[in-house]
Amino acid sequence: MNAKTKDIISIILKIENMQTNIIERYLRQELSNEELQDFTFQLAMDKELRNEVEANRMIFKTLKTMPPVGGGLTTGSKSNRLLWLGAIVILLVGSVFVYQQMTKQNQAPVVPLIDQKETTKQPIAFAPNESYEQLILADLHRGTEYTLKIDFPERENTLEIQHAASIQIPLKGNLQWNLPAAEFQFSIYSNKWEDYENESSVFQEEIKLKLQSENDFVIDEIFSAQLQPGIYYFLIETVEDGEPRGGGKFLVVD
Amino acid sequence: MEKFNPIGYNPEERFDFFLSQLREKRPGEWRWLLDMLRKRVTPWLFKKDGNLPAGAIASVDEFIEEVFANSLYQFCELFETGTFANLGEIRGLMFRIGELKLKEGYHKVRRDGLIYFKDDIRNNEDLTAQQDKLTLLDLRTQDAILELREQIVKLEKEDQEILIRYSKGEELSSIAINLGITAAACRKKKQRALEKLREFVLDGFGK
Repeated sequence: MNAKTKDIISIILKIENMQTNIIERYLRQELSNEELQDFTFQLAMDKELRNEVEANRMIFKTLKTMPPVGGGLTTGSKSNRLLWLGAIVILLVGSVFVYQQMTKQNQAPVVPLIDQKETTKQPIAFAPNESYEQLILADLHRGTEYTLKIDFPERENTLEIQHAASIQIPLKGNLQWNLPAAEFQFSIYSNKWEDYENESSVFQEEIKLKLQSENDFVIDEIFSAQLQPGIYYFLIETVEDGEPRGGGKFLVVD
Repeated sequence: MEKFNPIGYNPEERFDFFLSQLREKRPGEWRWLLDMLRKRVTPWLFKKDGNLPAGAIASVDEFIEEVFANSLYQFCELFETGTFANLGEIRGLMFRIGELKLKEGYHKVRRDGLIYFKDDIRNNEDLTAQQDKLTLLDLRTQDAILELREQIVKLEKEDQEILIRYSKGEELSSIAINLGITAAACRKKKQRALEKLREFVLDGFGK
């Protein structure tokens, strides 16, 4: 299979993946108003899509009827105790809120839910996303068995790239990898955290590492991508398990 | 202030032109129509909706969205061969379909209790009597769902756990913490497991 065919197959898989992810988000009622409008239009126009949506709906319904395998939360671990504590706090705060609402003299009329899940923090294209910010700032770059140093884009100065039909994104750095051989990919995500959770990157390409010495690799790539103005987060991930090993962000500006 | 109209004209006043654009599948006109139908039909469905039977798998929101989606599918099919004198007739068609789909939806909810929770029926006599209420299509659906459940059970335990919790609305990050795996591993497993099930459903049940 030649490189061009591989590229075409990769693009088709990415489009299929994005379609699958939007179907999931639709069924979980996670689409924004605009996305729901677009998706409704696609449903009207595309019979194949309708079949896929109903197939997925059947899967989700069937899953919902099945009991958890592990029997739910287990006690004992610190993280679970914190989760329970958090849940109790939320219940207490919620109870106070409900009591306050009930004592109000004028109740707001109940409006039937027309739209899909409305996020009060619906991100705009340039709004930083706290989850991504934490992810890229986390000490992913150094593990006991590897060190990844990204020289460019710099973490301290957010790179601004002028918007064009196809933009160039440089990636320079160094990787010391003492684990079994692995492949790495450069994945770009918009500022929607659900895209990361659904593996719906806006761009993804394999990183070609250049061997410098034993276990020591140079990263010197320029990726071409079609991106609209906004903030983007990139991750360097191992292909096999999708683990993020390093990351950063950049802006595409008008 | 004038409301923003993405198609730039009033479809009521220029209905013939609007209809011709719809027939040509012009995105602007279709988006306008679908937006209008969703804004009018969905609240109406909510008002007509009674209480869902106990044990319904879906929430009210999910149920109404499913009814709207199924109404839309039928509307699109009937639109192709239908004749319409004005916008009101197009709206009326969608409302009539919506009413029918709502009733079908109630039947499906009651049927789902027999199909999805078949294991709960312990008495053979009751089972026979219950199954008499199912149509041939329902019985085929029942078989399909049983096969799907078998496929789910064949998945690795951890993948099953992830999918079942994810389907019930839990966030992947929370599932990951609970299972003691990384968020990246959790999302990867979820994607791969769902993909297997999708392939099974789409290959087995056809398009």
